[in-house]
Amino acid sequence: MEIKKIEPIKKGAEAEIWKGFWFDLVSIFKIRVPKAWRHPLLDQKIRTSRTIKEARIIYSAMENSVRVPYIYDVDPENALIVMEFIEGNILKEVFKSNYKDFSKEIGRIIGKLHSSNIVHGDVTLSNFILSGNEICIIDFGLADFSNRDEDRGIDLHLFLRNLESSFSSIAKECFNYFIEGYSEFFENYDEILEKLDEIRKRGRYVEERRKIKTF
Amino acid sequence: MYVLGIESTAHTFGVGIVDENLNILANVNSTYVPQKGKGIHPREAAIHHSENASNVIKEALSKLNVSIKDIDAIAITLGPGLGPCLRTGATIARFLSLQYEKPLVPVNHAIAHLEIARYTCNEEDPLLVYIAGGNTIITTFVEGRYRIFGETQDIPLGNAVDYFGRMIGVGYPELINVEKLAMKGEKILDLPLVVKGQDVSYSGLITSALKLIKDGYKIEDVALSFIEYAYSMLCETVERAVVYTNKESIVLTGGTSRSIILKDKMEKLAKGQNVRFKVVPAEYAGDNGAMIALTGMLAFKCKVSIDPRKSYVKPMWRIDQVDIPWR
Repeated sequence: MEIKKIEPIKKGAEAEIWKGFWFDLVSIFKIRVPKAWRHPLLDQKIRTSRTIKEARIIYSAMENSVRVPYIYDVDPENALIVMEFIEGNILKEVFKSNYKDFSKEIGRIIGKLHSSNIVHGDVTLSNFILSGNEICIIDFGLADFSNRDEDRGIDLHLFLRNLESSFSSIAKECFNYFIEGYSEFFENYDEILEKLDEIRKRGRYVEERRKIKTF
Repeated sequence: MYVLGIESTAHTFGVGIVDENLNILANVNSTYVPQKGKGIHPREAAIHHSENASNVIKEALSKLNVSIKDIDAIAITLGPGLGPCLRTGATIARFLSLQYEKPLVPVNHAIAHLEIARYTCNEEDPLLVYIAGGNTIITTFVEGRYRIFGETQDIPLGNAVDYFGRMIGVGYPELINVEKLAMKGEKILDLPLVVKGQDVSYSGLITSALKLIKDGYKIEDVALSFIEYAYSMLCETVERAVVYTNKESIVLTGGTSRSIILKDKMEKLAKGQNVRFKVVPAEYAGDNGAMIALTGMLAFKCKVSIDPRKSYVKPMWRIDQVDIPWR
């Protein structure tokens, strides 16, 4: 594989993101770095399996006509995914300019993923890129194949919480547009909304915590 | 000024005394040891506490050569913990408070583990990892309270290791003995690694590990795999928390912080993230009276107290329900 890393873009807890060239294509390199604190055998196992899984999920999303970065190359042993560099703006930065359409489109994207039995696991406005007229969803590091309402509910919960923390005054309106788009591609959306309600009342989420009875 | 603190949430009945400068002047603890191969029996533990309470209190007072009349406030842990144990400690504390007319200061047991670690490690604002038989919590202080960044969804890490140890019969103390066995292991077997967002879950891991033993895998390899998976789950969420919160240090507290393997992993993790790493001293790692007295003093200085008639125990008292006026 001919690759050339040029500049680091982001260092997360699990992976590093680099911009560079794959042959002559501008690309993104996502590398799951080895962890000194993990047993070497377990470390290799986890990094390899998560890399394969993430690539599979991205590919499957693409097959279900969700705009995701194209996968150029996968190197499981080195826990590396090479993918398309998407030119554009992080949606969070331009969200206010057209939040109604953006919210609806995000709803469609998540609806498509969910009806393809994919959950994203990190639905925030920082994980969408506005490229021309298109919205592309990125970072499937916490994604999973799942058809459980629980996992789908978590996706909605994460998005709503993200709206509330970043755009609190229009959060509710945006979420309604989101549901409009979501329901176009996910038929049983009302069941997921019920689940969402339940999730928001759980103890481990501080703000919406139910009152625990003491005696 | 002295505050006397009483700990009695689980297996330990402890009494600590601190002065207004937070010097720990006494830390006397008596621990109930369960029957061989068994876990804590709440009623038996409570009986142990009521039988040993007066001696422990007397011994703590004798360290300073003072009498109970010289104490300015009684701090009591009202939870979280085992009901019978909590009630025994609370009854004693209420009695001392009413009989000698001393203010009663309520203390959350988990907060006490955090405060003693912060104080003894000399870290003002660390990411705190509280691991014990009863809790697995990753927390930092934000706007008046400790906020839970991640926690266990079912059983705590310490409980998981102890239970696994008892099931394979390594003997007490299980944590040390399971780790000794793990150090002899060579293979990493397949087990479930359950990280849900920032939370971890250990119950499935135990079931799967015990099944591997049943299937005839080498006990050392199963122990190694169990330990590696269990600790890796925690380390992963801790690392995420460090990156997310941007804290400059990690502090480990609670009984399970005595783990040799976990300390080594956390040290490496901290080095990789370029943050300081500290562990609460061994004598304050497990449940102890000093941490209740210390937290009680912090609270008492902020005029926190409770009417003994309303000092109900709270076996499910979460740390994010407690206002922290001293920070």
